Amino acid sequence: MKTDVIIIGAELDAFVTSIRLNELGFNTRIFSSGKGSLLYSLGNIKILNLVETINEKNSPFSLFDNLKLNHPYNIIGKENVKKSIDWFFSLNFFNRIKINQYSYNINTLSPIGRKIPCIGLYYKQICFNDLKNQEISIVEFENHKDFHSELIAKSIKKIAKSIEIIKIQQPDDSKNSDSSSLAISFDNLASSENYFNSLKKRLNKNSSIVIFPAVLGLNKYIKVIQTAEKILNKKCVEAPTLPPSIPAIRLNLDLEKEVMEHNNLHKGSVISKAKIENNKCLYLMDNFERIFNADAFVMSNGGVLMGGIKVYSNGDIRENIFNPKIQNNNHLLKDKSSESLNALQTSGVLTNNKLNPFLDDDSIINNVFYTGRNLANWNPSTEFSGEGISIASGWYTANNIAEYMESL
Amino acid sequence: MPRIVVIGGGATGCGVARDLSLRGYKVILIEFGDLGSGTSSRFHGMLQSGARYVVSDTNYAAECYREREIISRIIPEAVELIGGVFVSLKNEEENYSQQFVKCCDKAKIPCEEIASKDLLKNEKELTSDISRVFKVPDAIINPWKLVNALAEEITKLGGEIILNHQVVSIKHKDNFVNSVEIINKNGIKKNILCDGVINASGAWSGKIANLFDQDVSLELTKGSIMVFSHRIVSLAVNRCRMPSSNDIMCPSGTVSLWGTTSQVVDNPNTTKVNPDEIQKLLKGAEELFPKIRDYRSFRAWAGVRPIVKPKNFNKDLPLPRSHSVIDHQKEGLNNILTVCGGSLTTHRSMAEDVVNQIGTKLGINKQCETSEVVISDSVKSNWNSTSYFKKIEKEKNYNDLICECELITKKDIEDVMKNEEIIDFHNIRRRVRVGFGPCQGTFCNSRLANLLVGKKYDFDIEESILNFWAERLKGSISTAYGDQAKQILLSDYIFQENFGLNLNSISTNEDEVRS
Ligand SMILES: Cc1cc2nc3c(=O)[nH]c(=O)nc-3n(C[C@H](O)[C@H](O)[C@H](O)COP(=O)(O)OP(=O)(O)OC[C@H]3O[C@@H](n4cnc5c(N)ncnc54)[C@H](O)[C@@H]3O)c2cc1C
Repeated sequence: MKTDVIIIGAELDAFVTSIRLNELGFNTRIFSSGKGSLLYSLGNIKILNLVETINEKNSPFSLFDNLKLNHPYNIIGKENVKKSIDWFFSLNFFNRIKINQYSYNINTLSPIGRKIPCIGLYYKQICFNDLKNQEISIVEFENHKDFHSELIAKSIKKIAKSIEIIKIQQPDDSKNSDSSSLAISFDNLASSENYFNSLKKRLNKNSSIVIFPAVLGLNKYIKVIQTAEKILNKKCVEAPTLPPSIPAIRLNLDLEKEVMEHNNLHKGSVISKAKIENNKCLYLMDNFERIFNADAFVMSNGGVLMGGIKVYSNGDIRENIFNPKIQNNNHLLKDKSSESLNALQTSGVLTNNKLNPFLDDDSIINNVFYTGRNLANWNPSTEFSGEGISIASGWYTANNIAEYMESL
Repeated sequence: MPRIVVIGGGATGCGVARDLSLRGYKVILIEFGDLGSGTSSRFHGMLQSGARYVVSDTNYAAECYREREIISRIIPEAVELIGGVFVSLKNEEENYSQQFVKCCDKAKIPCEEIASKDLLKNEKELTSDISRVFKVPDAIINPWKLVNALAEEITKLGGEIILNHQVVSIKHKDNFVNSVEIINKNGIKKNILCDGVINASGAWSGKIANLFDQDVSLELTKGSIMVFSHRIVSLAVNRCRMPSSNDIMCPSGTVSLWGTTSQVVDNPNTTKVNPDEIQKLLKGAEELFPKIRDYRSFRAWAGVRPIVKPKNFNKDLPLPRSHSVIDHQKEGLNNILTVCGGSLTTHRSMAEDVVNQIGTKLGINKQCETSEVVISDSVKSNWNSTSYFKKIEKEKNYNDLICECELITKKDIEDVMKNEEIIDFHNIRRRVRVGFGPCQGTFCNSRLANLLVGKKYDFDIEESILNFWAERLKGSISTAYGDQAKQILLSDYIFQENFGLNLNSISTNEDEVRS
């Protein structure tokens, strides 16, 4: 079968682009050379919350006016961003994985107990406000070093009525130190009833909420958490661990599963060159000079963070496949390290309003599109916008590709 | 015996306090921050054979070699006798290498010429443009092991060490200093009575002298060093030429250090590496290591050398490296001396000199014993990438690794936490290297916080995490290219985006963050 669109990168933006393109009637082929950066997120969906204006119950969209004109959200357009987010939450598979959408920013907790504003929470992901005036039990698994129970307890001390930290053995007496192995051991647990029954004896009878580290299964987590709630007869929530965090892995796996049903996913392929003629990319080549044809190409390979864009010791910043124009903020020349960091974060590929890249002579490549962290002029760390930009730029790109294909 | 206050807990101050203690003095050492948090850890890591200065200052070179022999005998656990080479490149003048050989002979520094192909067999990253190679007994030294071992002995001998206190005034009566006033970070002051003072505050010596309206003529030169991943070289590789910038690559722990630059500064607290220094360092390193720009550099740091500028100093000559003892008697104070200049290699002989002189002043005639008494009877330290693994295997504590990069366990941390003087993450980091590795504290920082919260520490835990990262970032952002650029964004992802911390909420003056 002929490939309509090639997507480089297997991250949230790539998956969104692929799912949306399928909806619009196109097939895709995805190339990925490794893991995406989504694994370092909490598995929640953040759209925007500028740290200066951090305030629960803000609609993220009400903050768009504070963004610079060249910010990707402004390039995509507020209405399009809204549409893309609603579209994302209405995806069929979210019924299965039970993700919750809010119309305003609510706070979840970070692994060290800081509030994180977001509009989408994974199934039973901890929500700060739900903990007010509650008697709380925090469960920690022995040997699991990536759950910071003490830090979480400290952060909710002021609002909770009481807190206890209970240390219990891992299922089947295993001694995993990392979250992934622990989550898998919950998937494999023959009887989670027995396990939670033995926990029940140790919990404060009056506690109303039990906080677990977010490791209660990788695939079967809904069932495991439901069992826990049934046996303990208390509300159970999961708090994130040090990344890579399990809810993020679940989201990644769920999206990947969805995409693989209808598209080709090549793991481990490194695309290194492109053939461009008359403002059009004809094909891509990998490290072994194999040729891959398609009508359109999407660059979702994660910017500097994931190596899609390279930084050189003399301060050059380049994307080596298409060599587009780069917003280079000279981060190596700044005086303060926070300025340097911001300059590095906001550097990236410059595009027109369809997300086609500009070349050095200001021409564009019509059938190439950039998404997510490849784009210039936004800073995921200070805006809490990582997932939002991925979803919006992915959805928008898919629409633009459909439009481009029609014009052919 | 008289009570002597020693100001400064770097190599010099600790060396002085040890010498005084061995001679029976009552010692109180005051250090502004942590032991070895000044220039003594912001240096190149070499226990010099002296060969580097052998042409420019032959006497000083001979002193270095003598001290290298003594230090590696009395505190083997801090020293690695890796050896070093001086290499001249094909386009360089023959003249210097000829002088070099002659002067090594004069200074009694063992020096042997070897074929460049024999060197290149082991040192694969070096350029093949090498014409001559001279082998010398350079060594490397772990400054924290050194100062902490010295401190342990000082305490054993009855001396007192006060960390996290700054000397803010020096009081005198009738030409005799009788007390110094110190202040801690919470502003609480204390007065320490004494019969004499030795100012061993390195680059800050001038500031201390100002407290009693004196001056020491120092030239403060900042030197910056780049840290590269892995041991690119197995021995210290020096340029065979008049000492200047960009001269040395030497291994240290799991990394290699390249440096240095040299820039005159006013403020001893300057620790910021400037962008142009990185470019100069890379350019210099390229001459020896053609592929250096492809290697990952974790970070860069800067330290300030306190070099004594002799009176009527001829500008055209390089500043002398040997130390000076400044007697403030001429200016009216009879029992206070300043020792500075020199190097970490010569800290012991500097101490011997100044303690001899204070003895003369106070009428105490005791011999120096520091070159004879062995400090630690521990085994020789040979860097070995698997030794930590062996330890972990033996203790079966796989699950307790707090820092995977440096293989630091929960127990290692709990052990240092017993020390009452530990007041922040940096104190721990210096003692057990947690956060030193490739991820620069990204994955161990919060684990450390979780371990410490609610224990004896009452500091703001979020602020500690943020400050720890801000300090790591300050050094690593200056080399934010190649893989390090990715690493920094990953750290940023975790600290700001995932943890929800805000870098802009840090208010400290970055240039003066010292750790
Ligand atoms: C870039 C560079 C590379 C170097 N490389 C080498 C090398 O490879 N080999 C070598 O042998 N030497 C090297 N040196 C030189 C060596 O590092 C220094 O000579 C040596 O560390 C100085 O030690 P010190 O104890 O005198 O000073 P410091 O280590 O700076 O100690 C002084 C202490 O005094 C404290 N202090 C200051 N003011 C006060 C106050 N008011 N109250 C209380 N305490 C105070 C400070 O906190 C500090 O800890 C290098 C130097 C630099 C800058």
